[in-house]
Amino acid sequence: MMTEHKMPDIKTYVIVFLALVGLTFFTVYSALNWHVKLGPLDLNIILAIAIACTKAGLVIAYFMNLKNSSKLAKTWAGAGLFFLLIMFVFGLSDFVSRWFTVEGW
Amino acid sequence: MSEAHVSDTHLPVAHQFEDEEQQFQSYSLGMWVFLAQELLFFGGLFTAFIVYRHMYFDAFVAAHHKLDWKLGGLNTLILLTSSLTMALGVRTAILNNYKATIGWLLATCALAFGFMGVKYVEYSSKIAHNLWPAGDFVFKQEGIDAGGAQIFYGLYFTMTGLHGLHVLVGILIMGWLVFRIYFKRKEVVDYIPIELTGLYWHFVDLVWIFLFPLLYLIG
Repeated sequence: MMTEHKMPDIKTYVIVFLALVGLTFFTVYSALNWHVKLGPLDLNIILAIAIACTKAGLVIAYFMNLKNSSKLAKTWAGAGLFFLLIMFVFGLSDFVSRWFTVEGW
Repeated sequence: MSEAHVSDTHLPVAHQFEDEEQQFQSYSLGMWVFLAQELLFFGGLFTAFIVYRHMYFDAFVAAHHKLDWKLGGLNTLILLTSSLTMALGVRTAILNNYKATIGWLLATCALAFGFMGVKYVEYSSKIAHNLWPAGDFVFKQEGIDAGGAQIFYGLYFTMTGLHGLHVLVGILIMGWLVFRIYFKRKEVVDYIPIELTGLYWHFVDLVWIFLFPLLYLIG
């Protein structure tokens, strides 16, 4: 039995690596020099996390080669992310709602 | 961006598997399941970070200014480079060029040691400045709650410490792989352990990609 194994070529790896390095410099530069606020929202942290998510996506898709992996592996990667979001959303919604007061309770 | 098609790897198939494809899918699935729980393992600490950052916002911002973003940035570049060398190592293993694989794995190991070296410099400077949260923690700054800063450093040492532990485990596994390929070359016709180690190593890189901006840049 032969296994068909698809993987990125060297040029793709190098391009992805350079993009990751570029994004690292960008996140450092933006965090140190930009202080953008939109009302109470601090856009710096949103930008920093957005850049980190982009970098994570590149690492997962190309270095970890999830792009060419089986649907089963993709499902499990998605399940990991899904349960992480459940932890964030349910955990934090409990936390922020502890200070809510309801009339008559 | 194109992809190379590599077929015809001819791995030995263990008796519990139908064929090579099924064997590969099973190994790969096991690793992804492990990584999914690793994600939740670190996720708990990230949740704690979000909650405490919200509670002690000013203290977290003040405390993070004492971390050296240049060293953190250097470590980011080191880990990204090590991910590249690891990816190339896996590629050469799949292409059956194990001599090159040894070189790439050793390069990855060297970068991992470099990462730990930078961490050592950072940790010792933090401890020398009384920022070890379990010791005589001293953080004096006008209008800043020292307790909040102590929590920041508690999370800093826990998160980077757990991550550093993963780097050390990675070094051990890579060392074992190099040993195995070098001394038992004839029996090693199997690239799967190298591919799975690659997945683990990229995950370690992934965690640092989030730790760096949260701890060093934003606080």
